[in-house]
Amino acid sequence: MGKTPDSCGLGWHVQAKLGRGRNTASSLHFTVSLAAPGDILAGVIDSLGRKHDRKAVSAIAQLMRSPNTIIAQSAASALGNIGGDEAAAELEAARKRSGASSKLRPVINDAYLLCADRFVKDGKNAKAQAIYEKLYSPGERKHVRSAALRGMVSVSGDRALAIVMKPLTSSDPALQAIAVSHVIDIPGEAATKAFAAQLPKVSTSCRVLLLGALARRGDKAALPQVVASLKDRTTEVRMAAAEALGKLGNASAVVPLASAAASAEGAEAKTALDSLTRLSGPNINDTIVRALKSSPAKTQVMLIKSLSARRAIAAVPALLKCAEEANKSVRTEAFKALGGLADAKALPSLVKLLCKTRGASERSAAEKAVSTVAGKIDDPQQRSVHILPALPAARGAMKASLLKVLGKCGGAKALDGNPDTRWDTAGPMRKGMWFMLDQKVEKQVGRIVLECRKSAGDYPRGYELYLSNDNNNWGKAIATGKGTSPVVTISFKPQYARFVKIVQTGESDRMYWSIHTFKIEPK
Amino acid sequence: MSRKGLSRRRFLSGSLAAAAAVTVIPRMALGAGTPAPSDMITHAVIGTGGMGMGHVGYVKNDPIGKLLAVCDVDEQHLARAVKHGGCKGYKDFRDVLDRGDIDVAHVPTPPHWHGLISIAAAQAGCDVWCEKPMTRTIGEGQHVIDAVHRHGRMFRLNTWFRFHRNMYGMGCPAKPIKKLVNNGLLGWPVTMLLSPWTGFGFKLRQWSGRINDKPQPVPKHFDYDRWLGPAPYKPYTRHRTHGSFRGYWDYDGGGLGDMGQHYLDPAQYILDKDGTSPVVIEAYAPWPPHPDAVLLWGRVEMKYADGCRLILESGEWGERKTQGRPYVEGPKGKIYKGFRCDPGGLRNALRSLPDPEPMIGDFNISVKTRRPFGLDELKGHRSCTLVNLAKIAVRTGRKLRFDPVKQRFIGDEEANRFINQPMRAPWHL
Repeated sequence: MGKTPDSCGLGWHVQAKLGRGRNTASSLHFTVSLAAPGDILAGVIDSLGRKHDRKAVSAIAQLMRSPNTIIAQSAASALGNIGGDEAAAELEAARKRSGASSKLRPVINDAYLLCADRFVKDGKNAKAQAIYEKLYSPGERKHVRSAALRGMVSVSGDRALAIVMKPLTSSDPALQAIAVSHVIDIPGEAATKAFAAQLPKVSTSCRVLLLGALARRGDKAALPQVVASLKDRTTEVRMAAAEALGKLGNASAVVPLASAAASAEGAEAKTALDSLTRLSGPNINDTIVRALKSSPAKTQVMLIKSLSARRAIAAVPALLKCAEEANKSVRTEAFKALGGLADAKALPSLVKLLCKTRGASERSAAEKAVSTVAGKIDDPQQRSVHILPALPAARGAMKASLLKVLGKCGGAKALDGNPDTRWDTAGPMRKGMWFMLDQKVEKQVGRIVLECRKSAGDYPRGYELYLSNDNNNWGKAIATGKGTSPVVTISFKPQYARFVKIVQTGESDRMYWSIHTFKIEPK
Repeated sequence: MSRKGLSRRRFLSGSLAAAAAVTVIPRMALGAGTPAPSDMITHAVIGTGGMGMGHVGYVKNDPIGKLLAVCDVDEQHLARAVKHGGCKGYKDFRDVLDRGDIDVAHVPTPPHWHGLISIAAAQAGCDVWCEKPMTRTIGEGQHVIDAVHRHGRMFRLNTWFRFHRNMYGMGCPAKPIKKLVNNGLLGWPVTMLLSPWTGFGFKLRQWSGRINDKPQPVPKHFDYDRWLGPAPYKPYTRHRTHGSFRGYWDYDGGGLGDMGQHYLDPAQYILDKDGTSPVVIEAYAPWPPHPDAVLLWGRVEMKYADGCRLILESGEWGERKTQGRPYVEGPKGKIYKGFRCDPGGLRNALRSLPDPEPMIGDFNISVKTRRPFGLDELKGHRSCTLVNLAKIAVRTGRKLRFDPVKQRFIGDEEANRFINQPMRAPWHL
């Protein structure tokens, strides 16, 4: 190994002196390459290989017999770089000499593949094919065979399909796996159909890979067989089929995917649902809505989830109907979807539906939907307009629900700057009550002032302050404290936030929590 | 052939194509229960310094990973890795690859070795898990791509900010920013700014080289010649090697090498530039640069053919031109550090925007299904090219024009010599 600056730089020197042209290489290669010792020789061989000088082939080929592995490997690699008939013949001879486990073998194979690839570039497909076929022999390692098969496919034209089908239809799973990796390389609908037709015939593991390959081809001609694979007895195959349909599927895949999602659990159900959400093409949302009418409850739930994820606003009327369905899961899921998709026009219907809810979870979903949709109304004064009329007739839990919703969206009186009006909790303050303000844009927040002088005892007995930019991630409390007077000032390190939430941490037996004015200051 | 006669690798590719039976099981399922030995993926970690031990940890914590070999040219590093990894140790990576039973070769060496070892691993039939920056030169990256493709290997580059986690100063993943940018909510073209003010510091002083160190004796436990490998011979100093090697052009590119690809890969992803490179590159740095030690630079500006721009500012040298400017800036909107948006309503649009194409973010899935990893050799090469273009701009000190298709500089042979740099014999691509 060159351990001194003088000896180790020779490879660099040769390369620099020879430049990029080929003319000087032939005059130098014999003298320099044969004279240089040890590792330096390896560098010289590499430099000569880079010059693609075919006159150097026989001299370099001799060096593949060197007992020094580094020199022999450098020689093989250089021959690959030079390419051409003579280099290919020398590499083939070296392959025959070296055993399959020889340290030289991977380098020879790599160089031989490079030779074949160069033949392809030069339009000499027959010569390339001959090399690829030799490297595809059963004695070679998997990645070499795979590389050779790729080469065979690239030069075989119309015969490419037959070449890949042969290992694909073999009984050897290893060969099948190699073949599958080239399914993507052969264009055309006929090829797609031929590959898809193999799905029921190949091994389970190969079926999984083949489904992935068909998805990558992106040809919808494979759809019937892929849809059929959703009913395979193996979980892995069903998941692969569902995943493939996310890319390949059209409206015809809606019901199969929704049914698959409904009948599966865990990761399998999620895969099917994700694919249902990702389906692209015309009429997908319409098909999902139509399927709602005729599907069993579990499937309906999945269809509703997909409409929500697909942001299918046009599906709101259908979802309002689903919120009246007999099945509780369907109703609950419909409320969840409506919260995201519906706008103010749907608010009266939603309030009516809220008043018909049965059970806590369904009611909670409905409350959330109503308050979310009401919150979309820009004018805060209008948010309670459709909710208040329902209040007088409501009783018990319904009334509590409506009050809760009004509490969430009725912030106007706290924020009107008029100390004579107020927002209050309509009952004694309790732990967990909260007041939230959406500033609509992120603003710097450094101090909050809660004022209730006109209801002097209604200050929060304890509070936690939270900030958020998305109404989802609130993190830890920015500030905590206890109120002791009608003006509670909460100061903290300024930061940007859109949503500001005060959570009550104290209690009172009789005093409401009221806010007459609510001020946000940047610092 | 009898089962007894099968090598481990052939066993995997043969009867255990059944390994593919778990191919589409998501990552949570891959970790469930005790996997059968046949479902395990075998690993070797080549280079067991700081990051190398991180890779040993990756494998040890992977329920279907089995560490078979570690390799280092420093006996002390190697002994530590053998002890921690509970596997065989090697001094020469070629002996590791000759084993024939390694499914995934990790390459967390210093960057001047990344290209050579990745190529050798691909030739040996291994999938490759390479540390960033992917290669020290653009030419080495091209050779890695060729080798990986020729042998049908899977490749993973080890930076992850395009997938998940909060992107340094942004406090959010790349995905929501990409959604806003790619759907035109900021307008087009956009400029992305990577600087300490946007949350992306380049640590230039930390990774600077030394120019006056006297040669020191090479420690007995350290094979310096093998550590240098393809790099030019330079007398040994401790500072050239472990933990501070990035400060020398022969091995890496200072803070650009350390942080560059972490920052630039998500930027490339956000701009949807995975298949191309900038056409104009210009650096503002002290002149002349030191030929051996990586020192300071002020700013690097890169412009794509469509007018999108990347601006890297170190804040550690020269005037601070970009202080106060946003991370992403377009004609219609801006995104600042901490994902603050202007106008503020931009974030509200996120829910209604389509998600980007899903990517495979678990290399086990790539290895088993033979589907490319989300940050594979092609994307990794393009984002590493950004690092290498910036390095070349700093070293040449002039405005460079680059052909992103041919991957050559236009009309500048001196700059082109940085693309393919000769290697010290006997090492070669």
